[in-house]
Amino acid sequence: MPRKTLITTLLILMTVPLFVFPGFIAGLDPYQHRMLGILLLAIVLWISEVIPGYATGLVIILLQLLFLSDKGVSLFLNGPAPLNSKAVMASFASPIIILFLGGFSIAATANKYKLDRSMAKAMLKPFGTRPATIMLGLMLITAVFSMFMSNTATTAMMLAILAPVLSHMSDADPAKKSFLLCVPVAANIGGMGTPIGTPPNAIAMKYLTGADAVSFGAWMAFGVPIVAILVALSWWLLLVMYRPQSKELRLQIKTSAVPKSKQWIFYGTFALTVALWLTGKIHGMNTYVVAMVPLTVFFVTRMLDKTDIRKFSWEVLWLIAGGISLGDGMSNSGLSQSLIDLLPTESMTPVFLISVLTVIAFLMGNFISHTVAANVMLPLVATVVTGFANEVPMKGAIVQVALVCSLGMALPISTPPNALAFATGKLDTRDILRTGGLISVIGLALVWLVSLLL
Amino acid sequence: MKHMILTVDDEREVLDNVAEDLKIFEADFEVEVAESAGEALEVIGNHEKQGGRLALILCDHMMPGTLGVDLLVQLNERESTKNSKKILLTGQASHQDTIKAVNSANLDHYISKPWKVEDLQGTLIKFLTDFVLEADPHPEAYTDILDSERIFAAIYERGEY
Repeated sequence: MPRKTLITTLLILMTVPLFVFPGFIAGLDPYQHRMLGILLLAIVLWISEVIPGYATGLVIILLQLLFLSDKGVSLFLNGPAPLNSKAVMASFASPIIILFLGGFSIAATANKYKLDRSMAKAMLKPFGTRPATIMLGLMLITAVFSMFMSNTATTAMMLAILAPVLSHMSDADPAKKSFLLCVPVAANIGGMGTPIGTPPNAIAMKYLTGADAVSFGAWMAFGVPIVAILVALSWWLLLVMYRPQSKELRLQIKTSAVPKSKQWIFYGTFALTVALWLTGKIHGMNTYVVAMVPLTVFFVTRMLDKTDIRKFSWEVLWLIAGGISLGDGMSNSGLSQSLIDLLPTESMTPVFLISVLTVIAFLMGNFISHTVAANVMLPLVATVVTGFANEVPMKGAIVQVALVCSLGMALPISTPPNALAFATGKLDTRDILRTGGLISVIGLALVWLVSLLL
Repeated sequence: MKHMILTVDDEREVLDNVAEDLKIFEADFEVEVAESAGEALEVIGNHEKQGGRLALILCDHMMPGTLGVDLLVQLNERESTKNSKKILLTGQASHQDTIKAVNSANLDHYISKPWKVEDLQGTLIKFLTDFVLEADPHPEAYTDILDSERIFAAIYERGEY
């Protein structure tokens, strides 16, 4: 058996006593023992990737249903069950999942009719033919697109647009590297801009309720400036580190003819959705309700059909559902509170704890999926914040850690966008390490500053 | 295990020339040669036992023993080589044999001898790109030598919003 499997198996086995003998940690009731078992098991499964991340999401939900819910195995019921089985199952249809489905429907329609390419072409025009300005244009477009589409799809689209130009460029021209790097960098950064930009943001939204609720517009109010500053700095850095030699560069973006009516439906619905997202205060519809609008319009108008439903990234939604369910289970079982009571809290400050969690989230984001990092870290952050009776504001802490997950981009394996650019064989690990590393450190400082303001 | 590109020809000289022209693919593919249809099947079998797949076969027609077109027909009937890209590289296939190759072997392309290096490489890039897009879950791994524009566009069009 490979060493990794062996270690993983041992770690999994170590969680078993928590389920079987729920009573050996003083201060935790039997349900909390099991919830702790589920938390530890989820962390081991997600980080080791012995099973796919979305399958771990299912495991979390099933184990909560079996061990902690009112309709679970009667043998495991010790007094009133802390979780309602319907509520556990509802993780699959949480408003956050609906928000993502709304986002998927916009991205799927743009993709299906290649309207994103048309938009990219139109947006790139003002940037001329100088390599430096074109790079800025590409980065801005990539960043804006990845606020609404997955970072991976955005990167693949932009690299497809760049490929013909790059294949004609000499390997000696540093521009080859800077252009290959600028796309994943901008895609990674762009995801931070909106709640649907990248899954960690969605998971953060789960913890931002009640007085801490953040609307789509409110997220963009801090997200977009962070994206803008980081894109501008990265552009400058890439130009300094890999100065383009060529004086001129021409990008040909192939677009296809789309009937005017379909274009109107897409652009109209997209604009309406964004407008509704930004004006919640006026009409009262929240971010999640608005997300149902594009989803419904695109299927009613037959812009999308059942084949498109099947192409949605359902595994991402299951992964998010697992994270949502884990967070709910921890707070509803009282595990969060009990864990804080067990910690020697007098000797620690919440600011210190949150800082530690932030650093861990950043490291995790570099080595494993950002969504998994957020799934694991955000419930712990929420626990610390509630444990210290909101001495630190929930909003600042959650947003800080969620955004920091997105900053994990220093390695080729850190994010799918990095992996795609790296696969071209034209970049060394060192290129990604020094650009991604530098940008993410700047990003850390920026995110920390912003979260102080929240 | 890398996917394999196999060239079959009874003339050693041809095999050497082709192998030279296919050097650019060696980083990502197993480039093999065989001197007869029998040897070709053996090479394919061994490669499959190690978990590899035949990505593309470049096959001469007139050979002692089994003819090239008949080998392609056989490969088209095998489950594991059904979707392998099949190219005839020959000067002497008759009209009838060529029709058979198109109809019964799902022939993808015909290159006549003598060939130009750029044409051969361009053709292979096109069909190998087809193959990895159909058969490999990670086509991005081939963007360094194959058609990166098509590969990235396909990854993007596959969905995953």
